[in-house]
Amino acid sequence: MAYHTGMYLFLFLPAVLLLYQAAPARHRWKVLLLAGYVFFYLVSGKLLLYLLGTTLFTHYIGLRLEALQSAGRGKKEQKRVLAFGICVLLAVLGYLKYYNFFAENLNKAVVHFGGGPLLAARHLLLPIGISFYTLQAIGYMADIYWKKIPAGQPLGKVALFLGFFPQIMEGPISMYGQTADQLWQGRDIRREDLSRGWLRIVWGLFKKMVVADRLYVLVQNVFSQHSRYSGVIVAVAAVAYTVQLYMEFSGCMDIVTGSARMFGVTLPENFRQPFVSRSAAEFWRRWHITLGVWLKTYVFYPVSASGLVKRWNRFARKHCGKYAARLGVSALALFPVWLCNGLWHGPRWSYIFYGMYYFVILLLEMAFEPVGEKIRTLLGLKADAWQIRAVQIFRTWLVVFTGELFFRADGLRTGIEMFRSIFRGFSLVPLWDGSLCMLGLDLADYLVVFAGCLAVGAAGFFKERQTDISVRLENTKLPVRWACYYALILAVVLFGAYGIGYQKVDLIYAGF
Amino acid sequence: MLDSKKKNRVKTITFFGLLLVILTGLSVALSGYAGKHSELVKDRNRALTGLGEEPDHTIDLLVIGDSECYTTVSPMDLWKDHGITAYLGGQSGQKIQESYYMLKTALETQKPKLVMMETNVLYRSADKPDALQDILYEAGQHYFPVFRYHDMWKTLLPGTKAGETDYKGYVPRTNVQPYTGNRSYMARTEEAVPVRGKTVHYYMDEILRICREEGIAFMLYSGPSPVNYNYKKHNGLAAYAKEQKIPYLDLNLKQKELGIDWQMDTVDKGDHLNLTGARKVTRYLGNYLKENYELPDHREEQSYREWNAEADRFFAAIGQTKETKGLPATDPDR
Repeated sequence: MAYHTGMYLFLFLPAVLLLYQAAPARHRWKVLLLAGYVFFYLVSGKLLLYLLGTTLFTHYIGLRLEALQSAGRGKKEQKRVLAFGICVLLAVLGYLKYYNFFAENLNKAVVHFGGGPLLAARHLLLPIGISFYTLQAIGYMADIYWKKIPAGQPLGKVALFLGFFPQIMEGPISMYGQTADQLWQGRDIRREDLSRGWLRIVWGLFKKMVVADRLYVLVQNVFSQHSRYSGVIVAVAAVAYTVQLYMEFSGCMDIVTGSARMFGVTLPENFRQPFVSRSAAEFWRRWHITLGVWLKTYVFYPVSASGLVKRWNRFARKHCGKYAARLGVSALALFPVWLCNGLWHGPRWSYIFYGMYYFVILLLEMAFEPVGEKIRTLLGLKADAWQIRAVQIFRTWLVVFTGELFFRADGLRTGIEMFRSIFRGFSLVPLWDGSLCMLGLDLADYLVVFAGCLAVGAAGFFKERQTDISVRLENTKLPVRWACYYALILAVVLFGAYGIGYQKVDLIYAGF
Repeated sequence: MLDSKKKNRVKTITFFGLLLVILTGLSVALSGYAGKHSELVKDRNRALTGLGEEPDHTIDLLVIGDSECYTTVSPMDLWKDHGITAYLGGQSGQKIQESYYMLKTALETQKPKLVMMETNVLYRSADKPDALQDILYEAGQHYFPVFRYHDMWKTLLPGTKAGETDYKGYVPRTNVQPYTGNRSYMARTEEAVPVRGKTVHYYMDEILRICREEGIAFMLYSGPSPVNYNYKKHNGLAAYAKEQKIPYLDLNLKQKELGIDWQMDTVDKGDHLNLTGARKVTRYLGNYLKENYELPDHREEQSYREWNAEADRFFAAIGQTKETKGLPATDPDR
């Protein structure tokens, strides 16, 4: 039961809304919690036990930390408890998600050196959203340790924080302080929340069904038969996949955020117009924001504040100068962040490469920043000149499209082959000689994709200027407002890539 | 305060009421367009629009099911030999809820004397959440055909290709990929694969109820297919038919009578029959139907002369294949 299906939108969500509103305010959190577990069970069945186990364990670690804090025990002991909690959660995640990857690579290495395979592959079922709720659970424990969360959090509240149904499948990864109180309150469903919520849901459906699911056909065709294609077609596929991924993931986030909004819960945003970013670093502050924030809070900052990094900083400043010290410190702190980012996406070398790719790109951006500044000064351009902005945005696009090519390719080797094939007999002619219409999409499909991107781009353009179109619409006259709402709904109904002739496309990030 | 609440309620109801009106209007417009241009309708929806194009109350035999249904019966042969007016309401991978809505759609304009259901559909049941999703989806498409024909707008653009020509739901497929597996795939056994699943039972009950209420005879049949059938399934289906008190004809047990040659009569290694296989089955089935059901012979009736014209086109087309290979060599599951 994915978020874009009729079962979720027309049965599950309305049923939960009704039950929630019918229940007395003090019991509403129970309705949400039960709905979360039913949702989880419908998708992952008995694997719900993992979520229940994680919840009990996380709450227990929280209680232990609070007990140590109130008893005035030393930081060391607290650190040990926290480390134990994190290790157990990561061990469960690691075993279920990475065991086979580890076993396969270990066996390959042993066989390479003349031995026999050591570990047998296992059929392990992965509970839905484990990568998301595990991060939230770790965040909760760390926040207790840092005393960001007041003591005495009830088990039900922690359970709801980890099992709120709109967040289960694809996040956003929230911190306890961001959502737990809102979920716990059980406030009345309000008309404006319902109205803003459903509009956000339809907008998400538009992105997913009209653009992303349509592009899926092209992407699938090229990536699954990559040896048949080269040159600009592969480049087009990389761009198409990037757009597909953005429209799908951000569309799903719109549905999720809209669903939560209906209950009066504001979830953290996961996207903020990433394609206007002027650098890869900025891109990651606008793309999958909650993962970035999580990694920054729970990996980057602790590593930056660690003794090793501090010692290196002192040493480098003394012997190598400020520039090298800054680069070195960044490298030390960013390496685990991007390794975690890559690994988090799944047990594949291409994902690890993807993480390392951004690690290198970010360091290069930092290293060449002074050179860029010098060139800009020589050209006599202001930092905010449109020419500079255009070049920087275009450069970021190239970085992102290349990264997504490796991300989507079926394995690192395939990614390298596809990347190299772009430069083999490169010609722009396939863009207009009809080759694009041999990839599973016809002219009408391309027109719809283009118009869809234009609409999403326009909404992003206004949002970037602090104008939320949905809020503006609320203040327009009723006939205009309704006409816009109907137009959006009908665009999904008429131009959506669903039904006969289209394939059902599972949510990409639900697989992570 | 109360007034504003009331006002908001009225607004909400008006908004959704208007939306329903718009969706209904679009449904009527698109179904009408699809009905007039069934050649532009996508394959799986073609049977529905084709049925809608038939003059009212002219179809005596409706066959429903998945690809096993539309590859086993040739309506034009039934017409030529017996004057039976048959239509194939088959769809690739048809699910039981789709069979149900196919019957409901047919009954809007037709009153068949017999409904035959190919049994492969009874073994296609989904998990619970997926089944519910399919039920919702099918119901939505049935009551708001705008969801079914939503991308008909594409056909307004130049360069739209027409699909395969079909003859009352049958597309002649001439390619041959021999079946080389076990010849005695119907070896007797006492074991059975029962017909399972709440969804299947619910919709079968509904289909049988409708047929009973409308006075339509109903029978189950299994088309010859070593890939899809065996004796265990036969036992399960026979038990189900007995329990429901409906006739069941398993053509997998009649291979000698049919004269099926698995080297020549299958399009894809025993999964589906090709044109020659379907014609052999149709010959047998025609006699069976004549013996067991009162299906009128319309060949001499003036109002059915279009059937003669379509039969001429069909036989001319299958005649052409020998020389010009003008017929599609396609995958029946498309």
